[in-house]
Amino acid sequence: MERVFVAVRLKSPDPGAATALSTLRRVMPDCAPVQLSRYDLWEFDMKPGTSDTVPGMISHFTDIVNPNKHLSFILTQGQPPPGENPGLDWTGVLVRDHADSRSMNWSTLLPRRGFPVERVRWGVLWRFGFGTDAGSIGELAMRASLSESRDSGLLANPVSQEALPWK
Amino acid sequence: MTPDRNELQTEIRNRGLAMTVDEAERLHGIFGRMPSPLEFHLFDIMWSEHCSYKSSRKLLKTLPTRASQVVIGPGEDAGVVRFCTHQGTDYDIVVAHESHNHPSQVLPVEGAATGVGGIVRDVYCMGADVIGSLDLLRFGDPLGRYGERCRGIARGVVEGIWQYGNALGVPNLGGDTEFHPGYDDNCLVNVVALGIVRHDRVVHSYVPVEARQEPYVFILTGKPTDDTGFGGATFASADLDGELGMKSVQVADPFLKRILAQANLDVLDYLFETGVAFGFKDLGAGGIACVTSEMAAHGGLGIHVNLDDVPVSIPGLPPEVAACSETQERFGFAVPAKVAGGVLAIYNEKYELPRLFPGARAAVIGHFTQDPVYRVTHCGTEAACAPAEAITEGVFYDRPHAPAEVSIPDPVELPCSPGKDIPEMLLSVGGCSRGAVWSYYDSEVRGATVLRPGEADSCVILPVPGCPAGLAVSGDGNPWYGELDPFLGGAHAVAEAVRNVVSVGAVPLCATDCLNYGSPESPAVMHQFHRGIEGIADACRHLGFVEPGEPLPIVSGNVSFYNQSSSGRSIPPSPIVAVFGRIDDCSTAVDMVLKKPGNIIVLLGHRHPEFGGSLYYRKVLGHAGGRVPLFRGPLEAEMARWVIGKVRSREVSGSHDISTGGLALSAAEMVLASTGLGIALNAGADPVQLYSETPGYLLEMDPSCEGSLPGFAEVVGRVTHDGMLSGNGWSVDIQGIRERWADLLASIVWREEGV
Amino acid sequence: MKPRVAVVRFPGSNCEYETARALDACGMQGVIFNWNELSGAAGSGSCAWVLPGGFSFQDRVRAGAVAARERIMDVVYGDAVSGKPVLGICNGAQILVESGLVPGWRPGAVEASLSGNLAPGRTGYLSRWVFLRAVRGGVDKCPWLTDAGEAPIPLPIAHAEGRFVFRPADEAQALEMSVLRYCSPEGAPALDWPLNPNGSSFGAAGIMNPGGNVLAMMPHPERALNLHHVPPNLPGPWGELRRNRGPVSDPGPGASFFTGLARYLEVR
Repeated sequence: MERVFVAVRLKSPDPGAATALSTLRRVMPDCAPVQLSRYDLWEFDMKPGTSDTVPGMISHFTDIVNPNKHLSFILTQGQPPPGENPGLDWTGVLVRDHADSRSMNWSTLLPRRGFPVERVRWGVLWRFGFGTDAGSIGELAMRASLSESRDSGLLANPVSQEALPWK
Repeated sequence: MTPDRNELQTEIRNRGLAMTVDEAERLHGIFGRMPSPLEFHLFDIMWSEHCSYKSSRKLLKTLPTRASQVVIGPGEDAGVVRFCTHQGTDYDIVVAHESHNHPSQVLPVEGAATGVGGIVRDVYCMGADVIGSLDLLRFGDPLGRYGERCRGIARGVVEGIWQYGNALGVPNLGGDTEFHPGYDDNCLVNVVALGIVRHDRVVHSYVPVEARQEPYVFILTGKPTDDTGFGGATFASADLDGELGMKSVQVADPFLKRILAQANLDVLDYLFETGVAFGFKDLGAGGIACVTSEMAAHGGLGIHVNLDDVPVSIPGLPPEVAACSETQERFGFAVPAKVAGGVLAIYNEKYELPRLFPGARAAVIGHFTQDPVYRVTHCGTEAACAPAEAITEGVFYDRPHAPAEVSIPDPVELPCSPGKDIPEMLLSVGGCSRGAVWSYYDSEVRGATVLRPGEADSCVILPVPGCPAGLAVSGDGNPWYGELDPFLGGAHAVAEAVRNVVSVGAVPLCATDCLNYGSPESPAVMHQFHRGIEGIADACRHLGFVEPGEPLPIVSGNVSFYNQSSSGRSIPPSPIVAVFGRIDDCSTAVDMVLKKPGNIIVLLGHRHPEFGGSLYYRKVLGHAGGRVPLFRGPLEAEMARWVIGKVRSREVSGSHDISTGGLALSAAEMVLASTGLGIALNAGADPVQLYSETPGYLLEMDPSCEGSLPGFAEVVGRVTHDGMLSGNGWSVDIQGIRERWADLLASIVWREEGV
Repeated sequence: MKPRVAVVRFPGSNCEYETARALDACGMQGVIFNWNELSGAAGSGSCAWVLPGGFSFQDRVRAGAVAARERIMDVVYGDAVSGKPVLGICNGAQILVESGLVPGWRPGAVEASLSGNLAPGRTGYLSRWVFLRAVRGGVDKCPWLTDAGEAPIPLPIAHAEGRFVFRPADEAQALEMSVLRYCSPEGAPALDWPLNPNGSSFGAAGIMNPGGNVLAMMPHPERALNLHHVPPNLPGPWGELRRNRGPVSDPGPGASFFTGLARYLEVR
């Protein structure tokens, strides 16, 4: 098995990221970053020797990437997407449901269409751009993410979702 | 001073304009100088097909648009028609119909979402609350040569519609979905919206005459202006091209629209309570430039717009971009200066636009002037200065047209084995359930929906809380008829939508049309267009039911040309018509669910051997030709009147019109819609009786009605206990194929199991 | 005087009018407050709260997550903890879950999730009619279920995130809170697709807090207020009634949620 990640973001400003950032600033100002970006993160477990077929495979499905509106990047585990503002310190959190139908359905559909895929997982990668004096940014990002109560955390519901660091 | 044509050509190319050099020359003549960049873009948009109807205007004038119930016909953003009186208050319905074809081909989700977003704005800005929408969708063959792309587009379009409409809180009242290889390169996304407004609170889209007595200002509200939509209005006037499409398709925001719609209602209340006259218009094609110039020109005034006061999300926009950008989710008001502060407070403070959406707010950006000049300034310099009425005058073309009729003869043999043919038709892309599409749509938000998609021929809602008057709506258009006979394509689009509305017991009040064709520069396409309009007009003249001698009025609509691939292949002629009807007492509304074993099944409209474009030809014989069913106006009208009367007197317990697939499929669909009852037809293996698509109705009635049927009616079967569809010597196990029929479209389009 | 019930309009709510009308039709007075009318809502003298359906903040980040952090939820939270009846319908239910008001074992802590529907071969929104039943414990405790009875109740759903999820360690007590559960038209428990339309744990359609005063439900009772709302091809007695009587405005299957509250308020 070879694991390939594809991060997909909108070319235009992402309203989800804007709402998340303004909410964090309001309810958790101490954890709010300067910039917040949102990516759909697709994890493809490919059959051995087929990882280079991922770009060709997803070009068949505008549901995953539509080049007219999306930018997409092939990443390895934990690798930051290119193009982040170099004036900030960046860290990330990957939020995924323990079970979700998008992952399940693409895991079924792609092999049926003959693509060498073993499993697909979909999630949201939040990328936090903090000021250079922010301190331990990994911790801040995780605190901003895990919604333990309505006063604390926002981006992941810990009952049904996992939040994984994506440095 | 004569302009240099080469210089004009360079301007057109560098600015990405759609106008011709001749048009640019004429523009030069209006100004007597080289137009400014903003002037070029403004006129480019105003002279586009989308805004000026330059190739279609003359023909559109031949459509019947007047009838006693019409309050406002074509010309403003939406049509307005009298609907009901409840507790002493008169209510009108407001209807609008547009296409968003080209954007949806390139970006299906955003294109379709923006289509919904645009059409509801047209209804909101008449002062109405939007109470429903429907989508008339035409996709390419999902199993054909370009199936993968067509399936992706179909999935995306449905997603865009639900993401926008469900969030906005407008119930989706169905519509229809057809698949035809003629749409492989160019899908159609037609959108209809309907609203309700108090008759005394209909708002116009121009500055009122009171602005001659006191200062009036223009207020822009909603999303901050950006550059992404720049050039969108001219999009439909160029061949499909990915690059062009990228720049032009908008990002829609139903969340902001919902808040704006709510705030608009508060603003309307405030203005009506204050007692001032005002104008209200949405921003669509051409953005600020079009809305301000049209509002001023149609009110006989001028306006001075200061672009420095426009809230923007991108600083430093050039004046032509700020003025012509098609940023979504914006509205404009023309109000007396003295109430502007009150209006701004509702948007910016009560509804907190600036907090809820970065950069969103309402602002005064212009002042109406007595001299009829359109002036725009930007950073202290003049960006545009034109006589206001020149902007709205438009251009006009009388395009040549020449018939290029196709004539494919009917086959000689008409094999018929119902036990095999009927399942084959039901389990085809053309005959299977559209439930997969509807399952994504919220049809019940507002809590006023009585009949949902698939339960009857029309959706039915109760527009005014507490009032028993129901509103029925349906939209139709058959591409297979259109390509064989463009006249009948138009006539049957009207007739079928009328039947669908009549079938639930409603009296058709008005219609809207969207005329989807190829390039008007092709004489063959122009001929199709001529014939389509003639067909619509002919049907409308026969199918008026409100006052004797009056037609069914077309009160709003849209023309969409250039529906073609980059290789120039046009779509089938696709006039699509929506009809709106009223049921005085909605508790009499009839659905297509069978009610009682032993009831008789009555056929209205005797069958004729006319199979052109029929599902039987296409699916069972694989034949693409033949004679399309005739439009028999007087008979259609007579049948409709009879149905309306019988529903009103509660003598009809189930009804379904006859169209695609003929009597056999209509009967099968009634069984499929029911909860275990069946139909036994007294027909043998007779292709004319079973499969001809001669228009008509199937009604479930009490056996006691049998003796009093008119000449166009006959008893053709009975309701049974067994859940089967059967005839003399044949039967179809409907329950056995129900699941496959219901699931087929999902399996092909969403799960990609058909490939 | 008719008891007042506050209906909160969040930015993006879209069911506030029909919800207020349902309250009006059942002997109460539904009053709509904007999200920022804090003092108005707090001082309105209302006896109960309803958080209506819709897409607050466009479901951005996660359905209900942003609205749960609006200041008006401080007011709702205080009233809920002090025992006032609170009903969240669809998006309102998502807001209650994200606010930690249901299941509410430790009020304020997020102890459940309304996650994306799990259905074979489809993703996203689903609109359709379903059947559910009120479980006895809830009928006794929950003001909204006073009139619910135990027969299957047909109601429409319309959501993309309606799957109740709990931590494995909490399942036993979560089952107790799951007072509304999907069922077959005949009333048999429905744990699996398609009768369980979203993969919800225990087939839960609605859960309450331990006090029973807070109820979060995904189906829309306000869209089933009258018989004319009921689909003509629905199985079971309500469908039969609809076919026999036609689309008349007699009470429909959703009315009991509101009449139940009215009766509870009257008795108190």
